[in-house]
Amino acid sequence: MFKIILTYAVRNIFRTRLRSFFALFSVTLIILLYSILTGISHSFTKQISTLIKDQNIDIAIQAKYASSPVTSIIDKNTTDKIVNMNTVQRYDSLLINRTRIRGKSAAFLLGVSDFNTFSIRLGFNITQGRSIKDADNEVVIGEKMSKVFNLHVNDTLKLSKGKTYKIVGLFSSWLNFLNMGVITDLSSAQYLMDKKDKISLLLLKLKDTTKIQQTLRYIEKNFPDMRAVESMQLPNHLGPIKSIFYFSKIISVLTLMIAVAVLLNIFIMALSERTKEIGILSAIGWSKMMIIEVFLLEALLLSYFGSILGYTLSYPVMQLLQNSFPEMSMYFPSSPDITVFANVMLISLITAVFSIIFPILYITKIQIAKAIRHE
Amino acid sequence: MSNIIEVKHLYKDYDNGLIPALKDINLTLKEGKIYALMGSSGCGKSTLLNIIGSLDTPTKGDVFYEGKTLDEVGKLSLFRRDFIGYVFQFHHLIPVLTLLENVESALLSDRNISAKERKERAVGILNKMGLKHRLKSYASEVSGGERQRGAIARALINNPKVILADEPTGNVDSKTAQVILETLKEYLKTSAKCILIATHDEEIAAISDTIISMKDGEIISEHL
Repeated sequence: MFKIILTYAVRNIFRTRLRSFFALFSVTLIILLYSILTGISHSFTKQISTLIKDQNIDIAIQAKYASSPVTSIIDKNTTDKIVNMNTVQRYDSLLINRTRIRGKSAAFLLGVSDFNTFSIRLGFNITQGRSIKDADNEVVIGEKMSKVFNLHVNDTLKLSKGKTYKIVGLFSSWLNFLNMGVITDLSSAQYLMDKKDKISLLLLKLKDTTKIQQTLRYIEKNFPDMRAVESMQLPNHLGPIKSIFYFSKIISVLTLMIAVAVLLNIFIMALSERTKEIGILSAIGWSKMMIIEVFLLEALLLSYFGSILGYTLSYPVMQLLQNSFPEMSMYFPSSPDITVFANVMLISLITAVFSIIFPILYITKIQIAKAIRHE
Repeated sequence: MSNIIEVKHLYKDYDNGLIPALKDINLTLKEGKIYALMGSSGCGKSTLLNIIGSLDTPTKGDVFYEGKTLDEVGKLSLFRRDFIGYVFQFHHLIPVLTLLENVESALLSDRNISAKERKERAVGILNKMGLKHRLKSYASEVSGGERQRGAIARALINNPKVILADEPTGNVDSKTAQVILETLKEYLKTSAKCILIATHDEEIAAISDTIISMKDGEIISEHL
Protein backbone atom coordinates (compact mmCIF):
# COMPACT_ATOMS: atom_id res chain seq x y z
CA MET A 1 0.00 0.00 0.00
CA PHE A 2 2.76 2.42 0.93
CA LYS A 3 4.42 2.01 -2.45
CA ILE A 4 1.40 3.27 -4.38
CA ILE A 5 0.80 6.12 -1.95
CA LEU A 6 4.45 7.14 -2.22
CA THR A 7 4.31 6.83 -6.02
CA TYR A 8 1.21 9.02 -6.06
CA ALA A 9 2.88 11.59 -3.78
CA VAL A 10 6.06 11.73 -5.88
CA ARG A 11 4.15 12.07 -9.13
CA ASN A 12 2.05 14.86 -7.64
CA ILE A 13 5.25 16.75 -6.89
CA PHE A 14 6.41 16.29 -10.48
CA ARG A 15 3.10 17.17 -12.10
CA THR A 16 3.58 20.79 -11.10
CA ARG A 17 7.31 20.87 -11.72
CA LEU A 18 7.80 24.61 -11.70
CA ARG A 19 5.88 25.14 -8.51
CA SER A 20 7.63 22.24 -6.78
CA PHE A 21 10.99 23.54 -7.94
CA PHE A 22 10.36 26.96 -6.43
CA ALA A 23 9.11 25.40 -3.21
CA LEU A 24 12.27 23.30 -2.99
CA PHE A 25 14.43 26.29 -3.89
CA SER A 26 12.80 28.44 -1.21
CA VAL A 27 13.19 25.82 1.49
CA THR A 28 16.82 25.29 0.45
CA LEU A 29 17.58 29.01 0.73
CA ILE A 30 15.81 29.35 4.06
CA ILE A 31 17.66 26.40 5.57
CA LEU A 32 20.95 27.56 4.06
CA LEU A 33 20.56 30.90 5.82
CA TYR A 34 19.47 29.23 9.03
CA SER A 35 22.40 26.80 8.98
CA ILE A 36 24.93 29.58 8.47
CA LEU A 37 23.54 31.89 11.15
CA THR A 38 22.99 29.15 13.68
CA GLY A 39 26.30 27.53 12.85
CA ILE A 40 28.10 30.77 13.60
CA SER A 41 26.29 31.31 16.88
CA HIS A 42 26.81 27.72 18.00
CA SER A 43 30.45 27.83 16.97
CA PHE A 44 31.36 30.72 19.20
CA THR A 45 29.43 29.39 22.18
CA LYS A 46 30.81 25.91 21.69
CA GLN A 47 34.38 27.16 21.54
CA ILE A 48 34.08 28.92 24.89
CA SER A 49 32.23 25.99 26.48
CA THR A 50 34.74 23.41 25.24
CA LEU A 51 37.63 25.52 26.38
CA ILE A 52 36.23 25.76 29.86
CA LYS A 53 35.34 22.07 30.00
CA ASP A 54 38.72 20.88 28.76
CA GLN A 55 40.79 23.21 30.87
CA ASN A 56 39.41 22.02 34.13
CA ILE A 57 38.35 25.43 35.34
CA ASP A 58 35.84 25.53 38.15
CA ILE A 59 35.00 29.20 38.56
CA ALA A 60 35.25 32.14 36.20
CA ILE A 61 35.19 35.70 37.51
CA GLN A 62 34.68 38.94 35.65
CA ALA A 63 33.46 42.41 36.65
CA LYS A 64 29.78 42.37 37.49
CA TYR A 65 28.54 45.01 35.13
CA ALA A 66 30.73 44.05 32.20
CA SER A 67 28.85 42.56 29.27
CA SER A 68 31.89 40.61 28.17
CA PRO A 69 35.51 40.01 29.24
CA VAL A 70 36.63 42.78 26.88
CA THR A 71 34.94 45.42 29.07
CA SER A 72 35.67 43.71 32.37
CA ILE A 73 38.28 45.16 34.79
CA ILE A 74 39.46 43.37 37.92
CA ASP A 75 42.02 45.28 40.00
CA LYS A 76 45.08 43.76 41.69
CA ASN A 77 43.72 44.10 45.18
CA THR A 78 40.63 42.07 44.36
CA THR A 79 42.62 39.50 42.43
CA ASP A 80 45.07 38.96 45.28
CA LYS A 81 42.32 38.52 47.86
CA ILE A 82 40.44 36.00 45.71
CA VAL A 83 43.41 33.87 44.70
CA ASN A 84 44.53 33.65 48.32
CA MET A 85 41.29 32.05 49.47
CA ASN A 86 41.71 28.65 51.12
CA THR A 87 39.68 26.85 48.58
CA VAL A 88 41.74 27.91 45.58
CA GLN A 89 44.26 25.40 44.25
CA ARG A 90 45.51 27.45 41.35
CA TYR A 91 44.47 30.33 39.16
CA ASP A 92 45.05 31.83 35.74
CA SER A 93 44.37 35.32 34.59
CA LEU A 94 44.06 37.02 31.27
CA LEU A 95 43.54 40.42 29.86
CA ILE A 96 41.74 40.73 26.57
CA ASN A 97 40.82 43.58 24.31
CA ARG A 98 40.21 44.32 20.68
CA THR A 99 42.98 46.24 19.02
CA ARG A 100 43.57 48.12 15.83
CA ILE A 101 46.05 46.79 13.38
CA ARG A 102 47.04 49.32 10.72
CA GLY A 103 44.06 51.48 11.60
CA LYS A 104 41.51 48.65 11.41
CA SER A 105 39.92 47.31 14.57
CA ALA A 106 40.23 43.69 13.73
CA ALA A 107 42.16 41.57 16.17
CA PHE A 108 42.12 40.37 19.75
CA LEU A 109 45.00 41.34 21.97
CA LEU A 110 45.44 38.75 24.65
CA GLY A 111 47.74 39.03 27.63
CA VAL A 112 48.18 35.78 29.53
CA SER A 113 49.62 35.18 32.97
CA ASP A 114 51.64 32.17 31.88
CA PHE A 115 52.37 31.79 28.23
CA ASN A 116 53.25 28.11 28.21
CA THR A 117 50.28 27.15 30.38
CA PHE A 118 47.91 29.10 28.22
CA SER A 119 49.32 27.69 25.02
CA ILE A 120 48.23 24.29 26.31
CA ARG A 121 44.97 25.62 27.74
CA LEU A 122 43.98 27.56 24.66
CA GLY A 123 44.96 24.68 22.46
CA PHE A 124 47.32 26.48 20.17
CA ASN A 125 50.44 25.28 18.43
CA ILE A 126 53.29 27.35 17.17
CA THR A 127 53.31 26.57 13.46
CA GLN A 128 56.14 28.86 12.43
CA GLY A 129 58.94 30.46 14.44
CA ARG A 130 58.91 30.10 18.21
CA SER A 131 57.08 31.14 21.33
CA ILE A 132 57.78 34.33 23.27
CA LYS A 133 61.01 34.65 25.27
CA ASP A 134 61.25 38.40 25.65
CA ALA A 135 57.75 39.56 26.45
CA ASP A 136 58.68 43.24 26.34
CA ASN A 137 59.56 43.06 22.69
CA GLU A 138 58.01 39.94 21.19
CA VAL A 139 54.58 38.70 20.24
CA VAL A 140 53.07 35.71 18.45
CA ILE A 141 50.15 36.14 16.06
CA GLY A 142 47.48 33.81 14.68
CA GLU A 143 47.74 32.32 11.22
CA LYS A 144 44.57 33.99 10.03
CA MET A 145 45.87 37.35 11.14
CA SER A 146 49.10 36.66 9.31
CA LYS A 147 47.13 36.08 6.07
CA VAL A 148 44.81 39.05 6.47
CA PHE A 149 47.54 41.59 7.22
CA ASN A 150 50.32 39.88 5.28
CA LEU A 151 52.52 39.57 8.34
CA HIS A 152 55.30 37.01 8.77
CA VAL A 153 57.82 35.81 11.31
CA ASN A 154 60.48 38.43 11.97
CA ASP A 155 58.21 41.24 10.75
CA THR A 156 57.49 44.06 13.13
CA LEU A 157 54.05 44.95 14.38
CA LYS A 158 53.12 48.30 15.78
CA LEU A 159 50.50 48.08 18.51
CA SER A 160 49.07 50.85 20.69
CA LYS A 161 51.26 53.59 22.21
CA GLY A 162 53.37 53.39 19.11
CA LYS A 163 55.28 50.45 20.51
CA THR A 164 56.66 48.03 18.01
CA TYR A 165 57.04 44.34 18.60
CA LYS A 166 58.81 41.64 16.71
CA ILE A 167 56.69 38.77 15.51
CA VAL A 168 58.58 35.69 16.60
CA GLY A 169 56.01 33.06 15.78
CA LEU A 170 52.70 32.19 14.16
CA PHE A 171 50.19 30.00 15.95
CA SER A 172 47.13 28.02 15.07
CA SER A 173 44.36 27.32 17.55
CA TRP A 174 41.17 25.27 17.37
CA LEU A 175 39.58 28.31 18.98
CA ASN A 176 38.79 30.03 15.72
CA PHE A 177 38.47 33.51 17.12
CA LEU A 178 42.03 33.35 18.52
CA ASN A 179 43.49 32.84 15.08
CA MET A 180 42.85 36.54 14.51
CA GLY A 181 44.70 37.38 17.70
CA VAL A 182 47.97 38.71 19.04
CA ILE A 183 49.30 37.06 22.17
CA THR A 184 51.79 38.50 24.55
CA ASP A 185 52.35 38.18 28.25
CA LEU A 186 50.13 39.82 30.84
CA SER A 187 52.40 42.70 31.82
CA SER A 188 52.98 43.74 28.21
CA ALA A 189 49.26 43.63 27.51
CA GLN A 190 48.59 45.67 30.67
CA TYR A 191 51.04 48.28 29.46
CA LEU A 192 49.59 48.41 25.93
CA MET A 193 46.04 48.65 27.17
CA ASP A 194 46.82 51.12 29.97
CA LYS A 195 45.50 48.68 32.53
CA LYS A 196 48.41 48.34 34.92
CA ASP A 197 47.89 45.51 37.40
CA LYS A 198 44.44 44.87 36.01
CA ILE A 199 42.96 41.78 34.35
CA SER A 200 39.75 40.93 32.50
CA LEU A 201 39.07 37.42 33.62
CA LEU A 202 40.16 35.32 36.55
CA LEU A 203 39.89 31.55 36.27
CA LEU A 204 40.03 29.42 39.41
CA LYS A 205 40.68 25.75 39.97
CA LEU A 206 39.55 24.69 43.44
CA LYS A 207 41.14 22.13 45.72
CA ASP A 208 37.76 20.49 46.27
CA THR A 209 35.04 20.71 43.63
CA THR A 210 32.33 20.16 46.23
CA LYS A 211 33.17 23.62 47.53
CA ILE A 212 32.20 25.39 44.29
CA GLN A 213 28.84 26.70 45.52
CA GLN A 214 30.29 27.74 48.86
CA THR A 215 33.09 29.62 47.14
CA LEU A 216 30.63 31.30 44.77
CA ARG A 217 28.55 32.52 47.71
CA TYR A 218 31.62 33.79 49.49
CA ILE A 219 32.77 35.80 46.49
CA GLU A 220 29.30 37.20 45.89
CA LYS A 221 29.11 38.39 49.50
CA ASN A 222 32.62 39.74 49.87
CA PHE A 223 33.25 41.07 46.38
CA PRO A 224 29.93 42.60 45.29
CA ASP A 225 31.50 44.19 42.22
CA MET A 226 32.46 40.82 40.85
CA ARG A 227 30.39 38.21 39.04
CA ALA A 228 31.56 34.70 39.80
CA VAL A 229 29.98 31.82 37.98
CA GLU A 230 30.53 28.15 37.70
CA SER A 231 32.65 27.88 34.62
CA MET A 232 30.09 25.99 32.52
CA GLN A 233 27.68 28.90 33.03
CA LEU A 234 30.14 31.47 31.76
CA PRO A 235 28.88 31.53 28.16
CA ASN A 236 25.43 32.50 29.47
CA HIS A 237 26.91 35.52 31.18
CA LEU A 238 28.88 36.82 28.28
CA GLY A 239 26.91 39.61 26.68
CA PRO A 240 27.74 38.88 23.05
CA ILE A 241 27.10 35.17 23.50
CA LYS A 242 23.77 35.83 25.22
CA SER A 243 22.85 38.10 22.34
CA ILE A 244 23.94 35.48 19.87
CA PHE A 245 21.89 32.89 21.73
CA TYR A 246 18.69 34.94 21.58
CA PHE A 247 19.43 35.99 18.02
CA SER A 248 19.78 32.34 17.10
CA LYS A 249 16.44 31.50 18.73
CA ILE A 250 14.69 34.31 16.89
CA ILE A 251 16.21 33.17 13.62
CA SER A 252 15.00 29.61 14.29
CA VAL A 253 11.43 30.76 14.83
CA LEU A 254 11.48 33.07 11.81
CA THR A 255 12.95 30.33 9.63
CA LEU A 256 10.24 27.94 10.68
CA MET A 257 7.51 30.49 10.00
CA ILE A 258 8.82 31.37 6.56
CA ALA A 259 9.31 27.72 5.57
CA VAL A 260 5.80 26.86 6.75
CA ALA A 261 4.37 29.85 4.88
CA VAL A 262 6.06 28.81 1.64
CA LEU A 263 4.86 25.21 1.79
CA LEU A 264 1.45 26.17 3.14
CA ASN A 265 0.95 28.31 0.04
CA ILE A 266 1.92 25.37 -2.18
CA PHE A 267 -0.56 23.07 -0.52
CA ILE A 268 -3.41 25.53 -0.52
CA MET A 269 -2.98 25.75 -4.29
CA ALA A 270 -2.69 21.97 -4.55
CA LEU A 271 -5.84 21.52 -2.53
CA SER A 272 -7.78 23.80 -4.83
CA GLU A 273 -6.58 21.90 -7.90
CA ARG A 274 -7.08 18.43 -6.46
CA THR A 275 -10.43 18.84 -4.72
CA LYS A 276 -12.09 16.62 -7.31
CA GLU A 277 -9.41 13.95 -6.93
CA ILE A 278 -9.85 13.94 -3.17
CA GLY A 279 -13.59 13.42 -3.70
CA ILE A 280 -12.98 10.54 -6.07
CA LEU A 281 -10.55 8.81 -3.74
CA SER A 282 -13.08 9.13 -0.92
CA ALA A 283 -15.78 7.72 -3.18
CA ILE A 284 -13.76 4.62 -4.08
CA GLY A 285 -13.09 3.79 -0.44
CA TRP A 286 -9.94 5.65 0.61
CA SER A 287 -10.03 6.63 4.24
CA LYS A 288 -9.35 10.23 5.28
CA MET A 289 -6.09 9.10 6.82
CA MET A 290 -4.87 7.61 3.54
CA ILE A 291 -5.54 10.84 1.69
CA ILE A 292 -3.83 12.88 4.41
CA GLU A 293 -0.84 10.52 4.15
CA VAL A 294 -0.41 11.49 0.50
CA PHE A 295 -0.26 15.19 1.35
CA LEU A 296 2.01 14.53 4.31
CA LEU A 297 4.42 12.54 2.17
CA GLU A 298 4.55 15.31 -0.42
CA ALA A 299 5.22 17.88 2.31
CA LEU A 300 7.90 15.72 3.92
CA LEU A 301 9.65 15.08 0.60
CA LEU A 302 9.77 18.78 -0.31
CA SER A 303 10.72 19.84 3.18
CA TYR A 304 13.48 17.27 3.76
CA PHE A 305 15.04 17.46 0.32
CA GLY A 306 15.17 21.22 0.52
CA SER A 307 16.57 21.15 4.04
CA ILE A 308 19.26 18.58 3.36
CA LEU A 309 20.29 20.50 0.27
CA GLY A 310 20.35 23.78 2.18
CA TYR A 311 22.35 22.32 5.05
CA THR A 312 24.82 20.63 2.71
CA LEU A 313 25.39 23.86 0.79
CA SER A 314 25.88 25.89 3.96
CA TYR A 315 29.44 24.67 4.53
CA PRO A 316 30.83 25.50 1.10
CA VAL A 317 29.07 28.87 1.34
CA MET A 318 30.61 29.50 4.77
CA GLN A 319 33.99 28.53 3.35
CA LEU A 320 33.44 31.05 0.58
CA LEU A 321 32.49 33.72 3.10
CA GLN A 322 35.54 32.97 5.23
CA ASN A 323 37.79 33.28 2.21
CA SER A 324 36.13 36.52 1.18
CA PHE A 325 36.06 38.02 4.69
CA PRO A 326 38.95 36.42 6.59
CA GLU A 327 38.73 38.92 9.45
CA MET A 328 35.32 37.40 10.21
CA SER A 329 36.61 33.86 10.10
CA MET A 330 36.86 33.61 13.88
CA TYR A 331 33.09 33.35 14.01
CA PHE A 332 32.69 30.51 11.55
CA PRO A 333 32.61 26.88 12.63
CA SER A 334 35.52 24.75 11.54
CA SER A 335 33.42 21.63 10.95
CA PRO A 336 29.76 20.60 10.54
CA ASP A 337 27.74 20.93 13.73
CA ILE A 338 25.52 17.96 14.50
CA THR A 339 23.24 20.13 16.67
CA VAL A 340 22.50 22.40 13.73
CA PHE A 341 21.75 19.36 11.57
CA ALA A 342 19.42 17.94 14.21
CA ASN A 343 17.62 21.30 14.42
CA VAL A 344 17.30 21.40 10.64
CA MET A 345 15.69 17.95 10.64
CA LEU A 346 13.28 19.01 13.36
CA ILE A 347 12.40 22.21 11.52
CA SER A 348 11.75 20.16 8.37
CA LEU A 349 9.36 17.88 10.20
CA ILE A 350 7.45 20.71 11.85
CA THR A 351 7.30 22.60 8.56
CA ALA A 352 5.88 19.59 6.73
CA VAL A 353 3.23 18.91 9.34
CA PHE A 354 2.06 22.51 9.62
CA SER A 355 2.04 23.11 5.89
CA ILE A 356 -0.76 20.58 5.35
CA ILE A 357 -3.10 22.04 7.95
CA PHE A 358 -5.57 23.28 5.37
CA PRO A 359 -5.69 20.01 3.44
CA ILE A 360 -6.24 18.14 6.70
CA LEU A 361 -9.06 20.46 7.70
CA TYR A 362 -10.67 20.09 4.29
CA ILE A 363 -10.35 16.32 4.14
CA THR A 364 -11.87 15.83 7.57
CA LYS A 365 -14.95 17.80 6.56
CA ILE A 366 -15.20 16.82 2.94
CA GLN A 367 -18.53 16.75 1.14
CA ILE A 368 -17.75 14.16 -1.47
CA ALA A 369 -20.44 14.90 -4.06
CA LYS A 370 -19.57 18.60 -3.95
CA ALA A 371 -15.86 17.83 -4.26
CA ILE A 372 -16.41 15.65 -7.31
CA ARG A 373 -18.37 18.41 -9.00
CA HIS A 374 -15.58 20.94 -8.30
CA GLU A 375 -14.03 22.49 -11.41
CA MET B 1 -34.41 -11.99 -3.90
CA SER B 2 -33.60 -9.79 -0.98
CA ASN B 3 -33.81 -6.02 -0.84
CA ILE B 4 -30.34 -4.62 -1.14
CA ILE B 5 -31.30 -0.97 -0.92
CA GLU B 6 -34.45 0.69 0.34
CA VAL B 7 -35.06 4.41 0.08
CA LYS B 8 -37.79 5.80 2.29
CA HIS B 9 -39.29 9.28 2.10
CA LEU B 10 -36.11 10.85 0.86
CA TYR B 11 -35.85 14.62 0.41
CA LYS B 12 -32.92 16.73 -0.66
CA ASP B 13 -32.88 20.53 -0.75
CA TYR B 14 -30.15 23.03 -1.53
CA ASP B 15 -29.77 26.63 -0.37
CA ASN B 16 -31.72 26.11 2.86
CA GLY B 17 -34.75 24.61 1.17
CA LEU B 18 -34.95 27.10 -1.68
CA ILE B 19 -34.01 24.52 -4.28
CA PRO B 20 -35.76 21.16 -3.87
CA ALA B 21 -33.77 18.51 -5.72
CA LEU B 22 -35.58 15.37 -4.51
CA LYS B 23 -39.09 15.07 -3.14
CA ASP B 24 -40.40 12.11 -1.20
CA ILE B 25 -38.42 9.41 -3.01
CA ASN B 26 -39.38 5.85 -2.19
CA LEU B 27 -37.51 3.06 -3.87
CA THR B 28 -36.55 -0.55 -3.37
CA LEU B 29 -33.67 -2.21 -5.22
CA LYS B 30 -33.36 -5.98 -5.22
CA GLU B 31 -30.27 -8.03 -5.79
CA GLY B 32 -29.74 -9.52 -9.22
CA LYS B 33 -31.59 -6.71 -11.01
CA ILE B 34 -30.66 -3.88 -13.34
CA TYR B 35 -32.53 -0.62 -12.82
CA ALA B 36 -32.44 2.25 -15.31
CA LEU B 37 -33.05 5.68 -13.81
CA MET B 38 -34.30 7.93 -16.55
CA GLY B 39 -35.37 11.51 -16.83
CA SER B 40 -34.35 14.83 -18.32
CA SER B 41 -31.26 16.72 -17.21
CA GLY B 42 -31.74 18.30 -13.80
CA CYS B 43 -34.51 15.98 -12.68
CA GLY B 44 -32.42 14.67 -9.77
CA LYS B 45 -30.95 11.41 -11.09
CA SER B 46 -27.35 12.20 -10.10
CA THR B 47 -28.47 13.60 -6.75
CA LEU B 48 -30.34 10.38 -5.98
CA LEU B 49 -27.37 8.30 -7.07
CA ASN B 50 -25.02 10.35 -4.89
CA ILE B 51 -27.20 9.93 -1.85
CA ILE B 52 -27.63 6.19 -2.37
CA GLY B 53 -23.87 5.96 -2.92
CA SER B 54 -23.25 7.78 0.43
CA LEU B 55 -21.47 10.60 -1.37
CA ASP B 56 -24.09 13.10 -0.25
CA THR B 57 -26.52 13.35 2.65
CA PRO B 58 -30.31 13.72 2.38
CA THR B 59 -32.16 16.59 3.99
CA LYS B 60 -34.78 14.16 5.23
CA GLY B 61 -35.49 10.44 4.94
CA ASP B 62 -33.46 7.27 5.11
CA VAL B 63 -31.56 4.87 2.94
CA PHE B 64 -31.25 1.28 4.15
CA TYR B 65 -28.46 -0.99 3.01
CA GLU B 66 -29.51 -4.57 3.64
CA GLY B 67 -31.66 -3.23 6.43
CA LYS B 68 -29.02 -0.95 7.97
CA THR B 69 -28.72 2.83 7.87
CA LEU B 70 -25.41 4.54 7.19
CA ASP B 71 -24.88 5.03 10.89
CA GLU B 72 -25.07 1.28 11.39
CA VAL B 73 -22.86 0.05 8.54
CA GLY B 74 -19.58 0.77 10.30
CA LYS B 75 -16.63 2.73 8.89
CA LEU B 76 -17.87 4.67 5.88
CA SER B 77 -14.73 4.35 3.80
CA LEU B 78 -14.83 0.56 4.13
CA PHE B 79 -18.54 0.55 3.34
CA ARG B 80 -17.95 2.54 0.17
CA ARG B 81 -15.16 0.18 -0.81
CA ASP B 82 -17.03 -3.06 -0.22
CA PHE B 83 -20.70 -2.28 -0.77
CA ILE B 84 -20.76 0.33 -3.52
CA GLY B 85 -19.05 0.43 -6.89
CA TYR B 86 -19.42 3.86 -8.44
CA VAL B 87 -19.02 4.55 -12.14
CA PHE B 88 -18.87 8.27 -12.79
CA GLN B 89 -19.96 9.93 -15.98
CA PHE B 90 -16.52 11.32 -16.74
CA HIS B 91 -14.40 8.34 -15.65
CA HIS B 92 -12.58 10.46 -13.03
CA LEU B 93 -9.42 8.44 -13.11
CA ILE B 94 -6.47 9.83 -11.15
CA PRO B 95 -4.32 11.43 -13.85
CA VAL B 96 -0.90 10.70 -12.34
CA LEU B 97 -1.58 6.99 -11.89
CA THR B 98 -1.54 4.40 -14.66
CA LEU B 99 -4.71 2.45 -15.45
CA LEU B 100 -3.33 -0.45 -13.45
CA GLU B 101 -2.54 1.78 -10.47
CA ASN B 102 -5.95 3.41 -10.69
CA VAL B 103 -7.67 0.03 -10.44
CA GLU B 104 -5.29 -1.11 -7.68
CA SER B 105 -6.01 2.06 -5.72
CA ALA B 106 -9.57 0.84 -5.11
CA LEU B 107 -8.11 -2.14 -3.22
CA LEU B 108 -5.48 -0.19 -1.28
CA SER B 109 -7.42 0.18 1.93
CA ASP B 110 -7.91 -3.60 2.21
CA ARG B 111 -5.01 -4.75 4.35
CA ASN B 112 -5.97 -8.40 3.92
CA ILE B 113 -4.84 -8.37 0.33
CA SER B 114 -1.14 -8.60 -0.47
CA ALA B 115 0.45 -6.36 -3.07
CA LYS B 116 0.87 -9.35 -5.38
CA GLU B 117 -2.76 -10.39 -5.14
CA ARG B 118 -3.88 -6.82 -5.60
CA LYS B 119 -1.89 -6.54 -8.78
CA GLU B 120 -3.12 -9.89 -10.09
CA ARG B 121 -6.74 -8.95 -9.54
CA ALA B 122 -6.27 -5.57 -11.18
CA VAL B 123 -4.52 -7.11 -14.20
CA GLY B 124 -7.25 -9.75 -14.45
CA ILE B 125 -10.11 -7.33 -14.53
CA LEU B 126 -8.37 -4.95 -16.93
CA ASN B 127 -7.76 -7.89 -19.26
CA LYS B 128 -11.47 -8.67 -19.16
CA MET B 129 -12.11 -5.07 -20.15
CA GLY B 130 -9.85 -5.50 -23.15
CA LEU B 131 -7.17 -3.24 -21.68
CA LYS B 132 -4.32 -5.72 -21.47
CA HIS B 133 -2.10 -3.49 -23.61
CA ARG B 134 -2.87 -0.34 -21.59
CA LEU B 135 -1.91 -1.37 -18.10
CA LYS B 136 0.98 1.08 -17.82
CA SER B 137 -0.69 3.93 -19.68
CA TYR B 138 -1.89 7.07 -17.98
CA ALA B 139 -5.45 8.36 -18.45
CA SER B 140 -4.20 11.10 -20.75
CA GLU B 141 -2.61 8.52 -23.03
CA VAL B 142 -5.71 6.42 -23.73
CA SER B 143 -9.00 7.05 -25.52
CA GLY B 144 -12.22 8.13 -23.81
CA GLY B 145 -13.66 4.66 -24.18
CA GLU B 146 -10.60 3.04 -22.65
CA ARG B 147 -10.72 5.47 -19.73
CA GLN B 148 -14.34 4.62 -19.07
CA ARG B 149 -13.58 0.90 -19.21
CA GLY B 150 -10.73 1.50 -16.77
CA ALA B 151 -13.14 3.33 -14.47
CA ILE B 152 -15.57 0.44 -14.63
CA ALA B 153 -12.78 -1.98 -13.79
CA ARG B 154 -12.01 0.16 -10.74
CA ALA B 155 -15.67 0.06 -9.71
CA LEU B 156 -15.95 -3.72 -10.08
CA ILE B 157 -12.68 -4.88 -8.59
CA ASN B 158 -13.97 -5.03 -5.02
CA ASN B 159 -16.99 -7.13 -6.04
CA PRO B 160 -19.38 -4.57 -4.58
CA LYS B 161 -22.96 -5.49 -3.87
CA VAL B 162 -24.33 -2.51 -5.73
CA ILE B 163 -23.09 -0.79 -8.86
CA LEU B 164 -24.17 2.81 -9.26
CA ALA B 165 -23.44 4.16 -12.70
CA ASP B 166 -24.06 7.77 -13.63
CA GLU B 167 -24.40 8.02 -17.43
CA PRO B 168 -21.67 5.42 -18.02
CA THR B 169 -22.12 5.52 -21.79
CA GLY B 170 -22.74 9.26 -21.97
CA ASN B 171 -19.29 10.19 -23.24
CA VAL B 172 -18.18 7.20 -25.24
CA ASP B 173 -18.63 5.93 -28.76
CA SER B 174 -21.28 3.34 -29.55
CA LYS B 175 -18.80 0.46 -29.76
CA THR B 176 -17.48 1.22 -26.29
CA ALA B 177 -21.01 1.71 -25.03
CA GLN B 178 -21.78 -1.80 -26.22
CA VAL B 179 -18.73 -3.19 -24.43
CA ILE B 180 -19.76 -1.42 -21.25
CA LEU B 181 -23.27 -2.80 -21.45
CA GLU B 182 -22.05 -6.30 -22.06
CA THR B 183 -19.65 -6.01 -19.13
CA LEU B 184 -22.39 -4.88 -16.79
CA LYS B 185 -24.72 -7.62 -17.95
CA GLU B 186 -21.97 -10.21 -17.57
CA TYR B 187 -21.20 -8.90 -14.11
CA LEU B 188 -24.82 -9.17 -13.10
CA LYS B 189 -25.07 -12.72 -14.39
CA THR B 190 -22.02 -13.93 -12.51
CA SER B 191 -22.48 -12.08 -9.27
CA ALA B 192 -26.18 -11.57 -8.76
CA LYS B 193 -25.57 -8.03 -7.63
CA CYS B 194 -27.74 -5.01 -8.16
CA ILE B 195 -27.08 -2.30 -10.74
CA LEU B 196 -28.65 1.15 -10.84
CA ILE B 197 -27.83 3.20 -13.92
CA ALA B 198 -28.77 6.82 -14.46
CA THR B 199 -29.08 7.21 -18.20
CA HIS B 200 -30.63 8.75 -21.26
CA ASP B 201 -29.58 5.74 -23.32
CA GLU B 202 -32.51 3.72 -24.65
CA GLU B 203 -30.25 0.71 -25.17
CA ILE B 204 -29.58 0.60 -21.46
CA ALA B 205 -33.28 0.94 -20.78
CA ALA B 206 -33.85 -1.99 -23.08
CA ILE B 207 -31.65 -4.33 -21.05
CA SER B 208 -32.93 -3.18 -17.66
CA ASP B 209 -35.34 -5.13 -15.52
CA THR B 210 -37.03 -1.97 -14.27
CA ILE B 211 -37.16 1.57 -15.66
CA ILE B 212 -37.57 4.27 -13.03
CA SER B 213 -38.71 7.57 -14.47
CA MET B 214 -38.05 10.83 -12.72
CA LYS B 215 -39.26 14.33 -13.23
CA ASP B 216 -38.63 17.44 -11.15
CA GLY B 217 -37.14 15.47 -8.28
CA GLU B 218 -39.91 12.91 -8.04
CA ILE B 219 -40.31 9.34 -9.23
CA ILE B 220 -43.24 9.41 -11.56
CA SER B 221 -43.24 5.80 -12.60
CA GLU B 222 -41.59 2.45 -12.19
CA HIS B 223 -42.25 -0.13 -14.81
CA LEU B 224 -40.78 -3.34 -16.12
